[in-house]
Amino acid sequence: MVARDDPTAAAAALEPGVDDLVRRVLAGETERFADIVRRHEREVWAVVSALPDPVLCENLLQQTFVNAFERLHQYRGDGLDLWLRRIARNLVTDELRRRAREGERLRHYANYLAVRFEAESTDDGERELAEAVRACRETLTSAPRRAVELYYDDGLSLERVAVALGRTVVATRQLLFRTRVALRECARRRLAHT
Amino acid sequence: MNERLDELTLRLADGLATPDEDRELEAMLAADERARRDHGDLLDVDRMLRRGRPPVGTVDRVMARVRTMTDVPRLPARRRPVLRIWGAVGLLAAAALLLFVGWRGRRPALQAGGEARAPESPLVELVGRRGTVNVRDANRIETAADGAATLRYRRDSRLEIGAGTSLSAVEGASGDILRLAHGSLTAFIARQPADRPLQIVTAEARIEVLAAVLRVAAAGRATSIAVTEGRASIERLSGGGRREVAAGQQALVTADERGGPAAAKPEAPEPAVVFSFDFEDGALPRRFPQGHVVSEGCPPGSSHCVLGTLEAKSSPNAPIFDSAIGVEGYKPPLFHYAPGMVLEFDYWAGVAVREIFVRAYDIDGVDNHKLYRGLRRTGTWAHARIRLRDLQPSDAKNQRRLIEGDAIGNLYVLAAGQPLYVDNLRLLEYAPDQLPESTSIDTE
Repeated sequence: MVARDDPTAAAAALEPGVDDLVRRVLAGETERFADIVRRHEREVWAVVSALPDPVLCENLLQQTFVNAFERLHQYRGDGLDLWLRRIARNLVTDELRRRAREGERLRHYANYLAVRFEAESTDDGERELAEAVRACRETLTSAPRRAVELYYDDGLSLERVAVALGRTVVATRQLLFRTRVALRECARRRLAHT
Repeated sequence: MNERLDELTLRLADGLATPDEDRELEAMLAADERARRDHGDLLDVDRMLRRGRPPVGTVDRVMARVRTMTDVPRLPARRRPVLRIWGAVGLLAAAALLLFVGWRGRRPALQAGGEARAPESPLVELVGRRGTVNVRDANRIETAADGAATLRYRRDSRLEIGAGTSLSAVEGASGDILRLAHGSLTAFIARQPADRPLQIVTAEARIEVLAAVLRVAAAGRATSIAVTEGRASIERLSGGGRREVAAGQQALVTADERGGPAAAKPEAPEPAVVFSFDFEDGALPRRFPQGHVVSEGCPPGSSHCVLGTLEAKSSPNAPIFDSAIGVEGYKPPLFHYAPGMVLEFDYWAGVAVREIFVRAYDIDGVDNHKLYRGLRRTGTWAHARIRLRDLQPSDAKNQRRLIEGDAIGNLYVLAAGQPLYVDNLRLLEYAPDQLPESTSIDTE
């Protein structure tokens, strides 16, 4: 049993692989931190991308790793992905609280995410949900699929999606509205069968 | 299902909800458990869709910030005793070693005793890339054999970095210095201060530029330059004098010769290839959302080409079908527009096709740009050469033409009718003095 607050023992208990990278960064190989970012950016993105502001999401993605770098000596070797996600969740929550105070507009969103973040730390429902949405997305026909790709994967604004698809903004908004509601119903059906 | 609730939820998710809509949503959620479930499930879908891919370049941006931090993490000195005495000695030794190595490995503060500051880089911004491009730090760029990059340089200058190039930039006492280890670049150098010319240094030569457009290539113990606008001077590093190179002239310096740089035989430089698809492997490239690879009906000597996908267009009288072949990329963009760009392709249009057109989507200008051309000959293979500078905004109210550096998200070849076959689709970038005089669409 390793004493949780003993950094030396914790360093010795680190697993090879990712934790070995942590050890090397702590030993002064700063450039190895790039490997940590590369391995975990997708997991951190899954947390920060929940915010409805792409620029803010990108900033928080970077800030998560910068904060992690600053506090790397506090990492206890109990799963770097969990540790990074915790930092990311705290950043997202702080940002939502700040914005909710400023304008009250994102209070619903803050409440919603607080519940989801709590659930995420205790069960694997998130994974099932992600899989259900992914599978439902596969069933979309050409136009809705392209709209979702352009809007979510490529980060284009609604206006730009409309131009890229050769449709009006109103028609594109309707298309994205119908598509997302359809995905919700599809995901519900899939989750009900699991 | 409450459509108004779903609409408000998605406006919230899209960041578009007004305070009034927010209050309306709050009232709906407070009154109804089912509404709360529908709301949460819809936000779940939106959240899962947002997960996609993390933004390109995150590693580089994080590392650029990390490198400027002077207080790097290290193992803390505080320790607690472990229970097993015989292990304590070994762990203490390990801790001491890690602390020692960690201390030795600390980066020194960039400014002694002061606030840490990243060194200023003359390379202002990486604005476009294709293939594999490594940004080693703020001052060093490397492109792989499939890579190319566009860099904005300070004082309104620009560098087009070719494939297989290694380049670094430093701020020297007498002006900026670009070190070209190997590879090629086309430099669009805006006016530099008279006493601080930009220097491009290779293993063999030093080139000084005050204002010019020039291409520099360093490979095989030789450096060549070709000036298309302005003038530059080149000298052999091992001595032998300096040579002035004016617009339309070229010069060559090799490591094995003595004396001053030799004038090279002027010849038209090859246009840079932005992208090129010959479809010979029989697979539709991933970036093509429209088009089908076929093996029948292709031009002589070609095993595969692309048949346009039919797109229905609404018409009050009868359905109209366009044939569409498109290539696209948004994040990063397909390419950044430059006035010397020319789209070339071979095509075969059915006899009923009266018109062919090219459409490019400008992400920065949020508009499609098009060029229509009537066909005089159909039912035979022909060659098209479309200057992108000839494209017009499709929105009649929008007078904004394509501007150099605009991010382009997609590029389509379309025909009003069917069928349309296309092969050897290439986007080339010509030097300003080599650009074809006009768009042509009927050449064999």
